[in-house]
Amino acid sequence: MRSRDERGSALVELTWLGILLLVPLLWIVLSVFEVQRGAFGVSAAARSAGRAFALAPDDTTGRTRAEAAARLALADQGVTEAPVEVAVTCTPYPTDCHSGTSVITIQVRSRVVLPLLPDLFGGGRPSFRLDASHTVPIGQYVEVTAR
Amino acid sequence: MTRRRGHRGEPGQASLLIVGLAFVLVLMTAVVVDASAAFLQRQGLDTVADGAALAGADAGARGEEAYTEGVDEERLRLWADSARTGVADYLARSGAHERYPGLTVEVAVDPTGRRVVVRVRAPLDLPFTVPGSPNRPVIGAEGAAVVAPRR
Repeated sequence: MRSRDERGSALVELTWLGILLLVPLLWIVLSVFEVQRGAFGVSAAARSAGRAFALAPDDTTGRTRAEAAARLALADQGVTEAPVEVAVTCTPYPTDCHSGTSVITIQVRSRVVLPLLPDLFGGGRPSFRLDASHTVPIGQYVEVTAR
Repeated sequence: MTRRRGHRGEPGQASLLIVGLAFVLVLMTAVVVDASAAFLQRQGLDTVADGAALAGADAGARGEEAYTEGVDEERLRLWADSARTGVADYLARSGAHERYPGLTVEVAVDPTGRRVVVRVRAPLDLPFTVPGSPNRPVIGAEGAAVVAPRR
């Protein structure tokens, strides 16, 4: 009798343990990798956006190029749908970043949506915020154009 | 009898297999997370070293050679002490010490005096401790810069 009862129990164990243990584990692995991919992308984006901004001839072109560079760096990591925010601050001339002796700080912010989690719990899909920054000096041998 | 004993040993085999598999998976994930934390820190330090080298090269180019030997067509001469001040100033201003606690920096100017090399090193706290992982890993990065006059 006993040996008959046990028949099939391995399958049940396999199914339940598989669902309870391996599926959440798989989700954790996927989420961690998604967030890490975003972190790589954002850190590379800050660097290339900083370079692009500093090498552009003026602030307006710089801003366009910095955003394009940031998007390209993120797309390189496969992050294409995430929102990208590129903020540029400069000292000591906040309105003229390409003036001599200026120091530019580029901050890139983005968000990674955790995979396979729909709007189950309300309040939008859960996401992970990421940011990175890079500081680039313009140099002392450049004309000071700010007034 | 023998058949019975064989059956008795069977339940639990599958769970053991799955738990073992899950354990291996967790361990592998921890290794990968640690490795990418180290890579991320290196990427960040690379950025810091890059910016610091640019700042150091800019501060190091005092332009004094203009009065003695004339300005080189391709590279300006760099002074190590000024470059060091520039790098320290940059690191303080960009908040690198707060982001990477225990950051050490080494600034060197080429024997020719035309190129500044910045090496930064910072300890990393690994998110997971995996058997065999280093106790106190230190990540380093290097950046170099020159000042090229434009005409």
